[in-house]
Amino acid sequence: MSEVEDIVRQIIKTSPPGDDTNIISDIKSLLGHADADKLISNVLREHYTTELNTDNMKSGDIKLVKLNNSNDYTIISKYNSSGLKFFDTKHGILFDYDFINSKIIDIENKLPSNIDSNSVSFIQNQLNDYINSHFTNLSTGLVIPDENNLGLTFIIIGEKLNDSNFYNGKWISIYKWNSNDNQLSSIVKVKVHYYEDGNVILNTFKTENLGIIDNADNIVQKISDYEKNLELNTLQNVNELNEEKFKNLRRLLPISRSKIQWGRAIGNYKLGQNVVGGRH
Amino acid sequence: MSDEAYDASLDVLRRLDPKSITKNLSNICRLQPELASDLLASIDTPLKTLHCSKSGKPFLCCDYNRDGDSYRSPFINKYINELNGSIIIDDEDAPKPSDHLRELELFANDSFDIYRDLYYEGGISSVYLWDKEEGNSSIDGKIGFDGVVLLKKTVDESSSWDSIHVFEIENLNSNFSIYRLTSTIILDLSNSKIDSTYLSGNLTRQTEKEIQFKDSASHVANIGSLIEDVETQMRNMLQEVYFGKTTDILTDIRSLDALSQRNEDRAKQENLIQKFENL
Repeated sequence: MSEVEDIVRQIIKTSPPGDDTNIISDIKSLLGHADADKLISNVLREHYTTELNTDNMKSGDIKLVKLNNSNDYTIISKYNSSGLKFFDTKHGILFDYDFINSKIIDIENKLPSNIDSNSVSFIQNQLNDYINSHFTNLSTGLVIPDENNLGLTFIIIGEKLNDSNFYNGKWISIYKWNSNDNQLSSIVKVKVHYYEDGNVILNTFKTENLGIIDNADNIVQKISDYEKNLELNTLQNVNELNEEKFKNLRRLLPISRSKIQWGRAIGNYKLGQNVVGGRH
Repeated sequence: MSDEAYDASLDVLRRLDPKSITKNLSNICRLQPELASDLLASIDTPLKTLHCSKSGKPFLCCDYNRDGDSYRSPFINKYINELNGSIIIDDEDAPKPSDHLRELELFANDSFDIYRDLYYEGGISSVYLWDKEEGNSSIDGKIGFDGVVLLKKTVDESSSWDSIHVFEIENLNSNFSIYRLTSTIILDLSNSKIDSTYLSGNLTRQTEKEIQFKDSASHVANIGSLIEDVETQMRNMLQEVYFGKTTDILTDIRSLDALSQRNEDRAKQENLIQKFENL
């Protein structure tokens, strides 16, 4: 692995949610050579075909991409990849992606031979309803039967993109259900980026075992309940960071309760001493 | 080419996850070594702390008190090697403030130490001043100076606040100066070092204010008062962005209530408004 490739990888892995176009063109300018496209494309492909991980530097990612000539979306990820291509059980297509020009290419109207999407159409409809009722238009989800029907994988992605107001955000979740022991497990990763007059990230990543779900038809309801709780917990966590960390860093008012008398007289304040109003 | 690469470096560093800013900055400097000194001077990263081996006290480091691998201690006005903590004896070529400005620098450090104590109840503050190209700072204040005020506080090893205020003083006439301030606050919040839920980032703000001065010491007082106001306003901005905006965006991406429910509620509300209007 070359040093340059490793640097590009670290840039990609720390890039914010939203359009990759800016980052790609910045990296091109930084590399400044003819092979840049190939290198960037390889790193992006590797990034979007790697599993999610709590460590941002190791984690892959999932990408929401628009279907050509349609208002509908599909997904690029490790979880719906087959060989060098990606597949979409909802639309019954197999396709490749041009990471530099951000578009779907080589579409075939078929699925990999070992994937039977008919068996999951009922659950796929449940998932569509759930996503439509909780996520914005920039969202989609797939239910993928494992080879030999040993289980199911669910992929959910929802975005909110608003570059004109300097923010973007992305929610991705993966659920795996094993039909041998009926165990359901989850991975959820949320990233919000706010960058007006600055650069702020809200990041959360959670992986959990959600226990046994006997009937596959009940999985989407479980996901719905779980995601609501997870979202409420995240809001609660953020609130705790405000109450327990932020407020202990810099006070809104000084201990003396009035603005500082700057100038030579500042020597009248004594360091570390209880002043009028008291420490509390 | 170099300009394009410089703009691209700034653009990318202002967007990548702020938690990895130090690593990404050093990576980009490796890709573009000839841009390194400009990038190090214009991208703010969390402040390093060094211990002054003579006074035993900690001080903050940034590009403005750096000379190679060494940083000037505000307590003893000597450079200290970052790697082994030794005091650099032969530092005649390294930048230092003029004699009068050094007195002001000590006064400014004492003043901001009080400020730090009253607002932060802990943490570290350091102030570094340098003379202008037009001449050494004068006691009557008619030749001003430039400088940087640094503040840092960490709680529970997981959350930290770094303030970096770079200022310039331009004298308008013998009574008034314009104070130009570029303030960056880097705020990193998480419940523990390994927790995957974190809020991390920075906000930057530029302020310009015309204020009356009497002498060189009054410049320090004016800067102090200005920074006190700006930090309080920026604290409010940080509160709004970190705890308001980001969570609003989160609940926009995934609505807690089903959207059909939300639309129903909105319809009911509109219906109600309609009824009131018809009264």
